[in-house]
Amino acid sequence: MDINVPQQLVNALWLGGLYSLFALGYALIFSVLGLLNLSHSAVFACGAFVGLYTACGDEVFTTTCTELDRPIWIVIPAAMIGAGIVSVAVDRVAFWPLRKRNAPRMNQLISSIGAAALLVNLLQIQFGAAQQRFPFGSIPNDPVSGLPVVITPIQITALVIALGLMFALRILVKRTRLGREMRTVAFNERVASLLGVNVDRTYMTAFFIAGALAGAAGMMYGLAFNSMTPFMGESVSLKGLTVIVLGGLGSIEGAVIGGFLIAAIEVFSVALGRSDIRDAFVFLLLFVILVVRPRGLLGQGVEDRA
Amino acid sequence: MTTLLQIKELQVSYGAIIALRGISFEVHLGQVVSLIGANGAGKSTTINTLSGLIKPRSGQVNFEDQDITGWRADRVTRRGLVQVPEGRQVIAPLTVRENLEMGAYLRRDKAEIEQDIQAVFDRFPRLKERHHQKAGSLSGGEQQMLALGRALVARPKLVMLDEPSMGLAPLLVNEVFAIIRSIKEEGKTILLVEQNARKALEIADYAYVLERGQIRHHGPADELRQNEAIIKAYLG
Amino acid sequence: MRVAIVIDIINAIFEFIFNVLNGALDPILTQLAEIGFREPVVQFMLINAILGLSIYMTLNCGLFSLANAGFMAVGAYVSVILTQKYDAEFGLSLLGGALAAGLVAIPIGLPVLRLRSVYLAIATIGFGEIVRIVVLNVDTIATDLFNPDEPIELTFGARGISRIPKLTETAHLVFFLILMGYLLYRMQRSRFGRAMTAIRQDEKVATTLGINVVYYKNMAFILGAMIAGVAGGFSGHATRIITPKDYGFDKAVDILAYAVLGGLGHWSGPIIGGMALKAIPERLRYLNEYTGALTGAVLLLIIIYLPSGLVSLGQPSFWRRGGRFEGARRLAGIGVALIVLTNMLPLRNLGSDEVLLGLEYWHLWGLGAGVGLIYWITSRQPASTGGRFSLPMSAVTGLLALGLIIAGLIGRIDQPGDGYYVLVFGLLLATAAGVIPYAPQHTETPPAEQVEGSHA
Repeated sequence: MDINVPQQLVNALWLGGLYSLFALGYALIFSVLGLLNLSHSAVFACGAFVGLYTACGDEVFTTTCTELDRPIWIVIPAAMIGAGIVSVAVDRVAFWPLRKRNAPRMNQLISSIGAAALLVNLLQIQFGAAQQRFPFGSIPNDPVSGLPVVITPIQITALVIALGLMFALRILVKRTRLGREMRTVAFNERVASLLGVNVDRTYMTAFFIAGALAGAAGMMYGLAFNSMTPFMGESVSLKGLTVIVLGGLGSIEGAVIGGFLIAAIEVFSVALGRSDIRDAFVFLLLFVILVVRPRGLLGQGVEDRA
Repeated sequence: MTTLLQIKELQVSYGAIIALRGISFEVHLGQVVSLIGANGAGKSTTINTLSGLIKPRSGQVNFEDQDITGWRADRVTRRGLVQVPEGRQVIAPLTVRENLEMGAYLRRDKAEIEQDIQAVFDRFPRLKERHHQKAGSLSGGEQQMLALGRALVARPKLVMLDEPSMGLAPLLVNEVFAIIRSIKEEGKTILLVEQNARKALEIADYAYVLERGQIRHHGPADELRQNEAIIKAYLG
Repeated sequence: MRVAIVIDIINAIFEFIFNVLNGALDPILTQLAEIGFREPVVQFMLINAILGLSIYMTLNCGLFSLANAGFMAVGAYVSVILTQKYDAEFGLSLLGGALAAGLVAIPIGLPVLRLRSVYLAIATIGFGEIVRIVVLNVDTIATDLFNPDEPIELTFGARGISRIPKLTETAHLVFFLILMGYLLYRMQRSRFGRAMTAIRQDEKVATTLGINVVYYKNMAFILGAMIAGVAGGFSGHATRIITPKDYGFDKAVDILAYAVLGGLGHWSGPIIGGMALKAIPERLRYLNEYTGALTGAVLLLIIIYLPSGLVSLGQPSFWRRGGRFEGARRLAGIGVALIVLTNMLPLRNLGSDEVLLGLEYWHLWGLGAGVGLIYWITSRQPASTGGRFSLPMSAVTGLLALGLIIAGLIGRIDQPGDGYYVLVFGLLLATAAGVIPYAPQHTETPPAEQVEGSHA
């Protein structure tokens, strides 16, 4: 079997960028709240639809998008802001009441599932269950010429934006006042509040950032495949989970590396002709990692999460 | 003397269990006031209620003539009442320096924050040596120093210390109290909650003795040190 | 010869039991069908209840495992293949499914149960996905390996197994559930049950008590897997077709929701939760596209407002928590919420003409807001003298409820719908809440010993 290795690497690269971006939100919420937010994939889909609506206007409610009202680039900031707001709303509705009461983590997990079901169904009510797409030709989808590999401008954009956001998040968490604040809250809410941190606001900020990252990932996923459905989050939901486990729960660098790794496994197993069992490889890896090294590839134990 | 903090008839209960049965006391500007008492007397409850971590059932807390009863903890801290919590509670995953920066979380004056951090490093050279180390890797004494330093960087109007000597070796206890004394000499107002009554009375200007959620005795610290009942119960 | 007689006797006993059960179930099923729960729905409610029990086995031991959907798949496929390919008897095929699930659980449990909380959850999700993928691909792989000439067809990949004989009867499910309920009830009082409780509360302490933690954890895991396997066998024979995607991540999470929704404090919790999670969407089916959204919202509301699950509704302590005043307040809150809910879009099904006694929807909004306002104004703090919660609210809601009930009885409402019942129920709750008398708030101090034990 001959595989065009450089081409597959390029594919793995931009897809990995999206996976990492999506998983970063998971990781951020896990590190600050110690919580698996299963509504993250619904927020991902919300982002894509907010972007679609911003660019196309009301016609997406009834039919599909036939022409753009606004320039195509607007979809990404719109998706980020929209998904960020949705994510904060999820926190206020599904997590905050439980957190206030110190409810067990398992209840919070279930309430995140309830929130996910609610969001996906609301999307379906608004936009219908059928596939939505941008008009043909509105997305720069022709491969860039003069390169030895096939890559479209939208894929390059996705990779660049993903890398940029990852870098920005890293700086934010490690170097800024907000980052210190989030790490303090993650360590101990009580101590944080005694230092003057408004803990509720910190949570909202974390949820906004996580949502914005998911929104960006969702929008670029929608653009790259030019296809959006309310259920688009399902395909990445488990992958995101796998990515953060692989990288070490709550580790930011881990989520990034895990994302690229999963994408590579996927792309190469498809290229090898075993697309039917590619997911089995992924989950087998997940399983083995958990049993052999539960901290993940880059996890450094509990005291160093963030 | 100006009254900085005034507590009136403070009552706190955990469900059906009443922890504080109406206590009243005052802290004046520049004073070191100590709350002493046995385990379970309500000392930590008092300090946590003042900090806003526990909501009182009734009573009033006035700080600089403003009613701050029932305020959320971060607002109380913003107002200038800073607590150094029991058991040190440094932020383990952050470096020593980042811990101090978190102490200055509410301040925006970068240059002066830097000065204050340097001042803490001058006061505790051992922290300076380890400024890049994770706070969780420090020894117990060093962690207490970091916790004190962190509170000082906040430039509090009133420092509340919750059992600063707890769990420390006797030698370190002396060291910690020497530091508290030096903070006092700089003119800071301190509310000291301490089980080690002897040490607390040595350093305090005025003290209140708590028993079962009520104030049993109070008076200037040197008077209390002469009081028969207190000698018997707490200093004997 | 002797064996055959024994089998005959056992068969006769079972037949007798099922006949009796069928006789008892018939009227109940007819009633349920009247209110919209037809037999297939009831069967799936019962299967859900069994699934709830299977995850209760592990959660009760402190194991946050999401592997049950995978075990359900193993049980379903094995038992269906047994009946379909090998003409096994239904009972035997269920047993086969359960044993297969249990056998798979042994090698999975040993390495995985060392993990804690989220890690265990994720590892078991991974296991579930692997099962799904294996079932999906076992045909092609087996063909490649053993018999390249003639394709092996066992699970039929993504198409699934179809034309399954419909062998599951409601009586079987009821019998199995009663049996399991009884066994779990006994188990909770046995050495085994106490050991599990100890492990759930603190594993380290349990070890120091001499409890073999690894053994009990694995036992719980295997038993849970076997129960899930039986549920799989029942569900396989309740539908005509099974496919791998019926047992994916969504199912795993659903099963967890049964347990948490119903409540983990008591073994009946997961049963109630499992049935409720089938019944709620079924009852709301007529809302079409709103069904999913409303089910999600209901799940959220329950998890937020009933932190110990639906079973806590049946515990007097839930209503008494915080005294009568708080209890009345809670009742009134639920009542007002229901009145307001009547006005919400999907529940406006008041009568067949969708207009109730000439009331338009905005009238109902006004009603909800009005009752809410009276509630808000009159129920602030308990008076030191004691008294009744809110007589004005009771007067308003009581009269309204009475009027609606009379209108319903004399036939002024044409085919009352869900909205009508919810509205009347909400009004009645608010009425009851308003007349509850409460004693003056007691301020006496507890004895000194208690204070000493307090945390300060």
